[in-house]
Amino acid sequence: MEEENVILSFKGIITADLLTSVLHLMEAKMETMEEPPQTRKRVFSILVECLQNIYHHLDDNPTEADFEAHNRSAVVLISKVNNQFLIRTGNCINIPKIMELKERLDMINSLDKDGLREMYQTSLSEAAMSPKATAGLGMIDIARKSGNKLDYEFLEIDSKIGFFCLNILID
Amino acid sequence: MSLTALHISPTAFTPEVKFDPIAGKFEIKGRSIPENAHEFYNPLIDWVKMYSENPADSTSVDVYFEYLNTSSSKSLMHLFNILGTISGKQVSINWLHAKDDNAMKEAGEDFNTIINLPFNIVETDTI
Repeated sequence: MEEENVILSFKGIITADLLTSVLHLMEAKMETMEEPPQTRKRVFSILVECLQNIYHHLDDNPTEADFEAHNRSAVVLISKVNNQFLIRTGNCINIPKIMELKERLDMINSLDKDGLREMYQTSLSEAAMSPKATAGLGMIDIARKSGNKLDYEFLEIDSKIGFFCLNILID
Repeated sequence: MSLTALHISPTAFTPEVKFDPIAGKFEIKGRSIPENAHEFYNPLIDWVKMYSENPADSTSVDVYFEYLNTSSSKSLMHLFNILGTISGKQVSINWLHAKDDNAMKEAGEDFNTIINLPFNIVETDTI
């Protein structure tokens, strides 16, 4: 039997302030849980990357008319399933951007631990050469820290907007 | 014009910074998880650029993180690269991590692989 306990969930527009609040709340919640400190740190670090990824992704699209306010909202759900932490996020994405993201995720999922380390190190040195480049470090970091493949799905809302679901099971 | 020491107090999401240009002693310590790390690190990077034009005979950088996000890692990489341009003087980085903190140890190993500076990874109990 699968047992799932929701620790924290949120649905709404992601702002910098909200991001900060969610992180503070999650940290306080985890302090009351009997988890090894390293597990708590790993969950928190992954959550930081997830939320900041969503926030920066939204930041890429501020002026696009198709990307209306209601599409700037996201869902985040953190739970424990059979003793493992699971972070699920969902956010809107412009359809033309899906292919690129899917390719990146598949690339990350095709790599083992050593491959991920190499990809991370290469991206990090490239990122420093051109600080504005989004080297996709966040996703690689999430995959490395979780110890699992990135489970994702893209849903179609209409011809222009899709919905990106990401499930991260943390070892 | 001489460079004045830089001291930034820690916040919930940004580290404490102590840069002493006379002693060549730099410290970055605490959490570094701001959503926009550029904003925090750019003044540090500018400071280090000026420092690198007239550095102390020996520069030692102690870095200790409890948390480090990827956005901060990019900025740190930039900062280390500037320190790497200092020639004819000693520059070393001490990457401190708490015992059992494998994530921070690994982060240090990543930098050690891609940075061209003497780099020590040190396990520590007391910060």
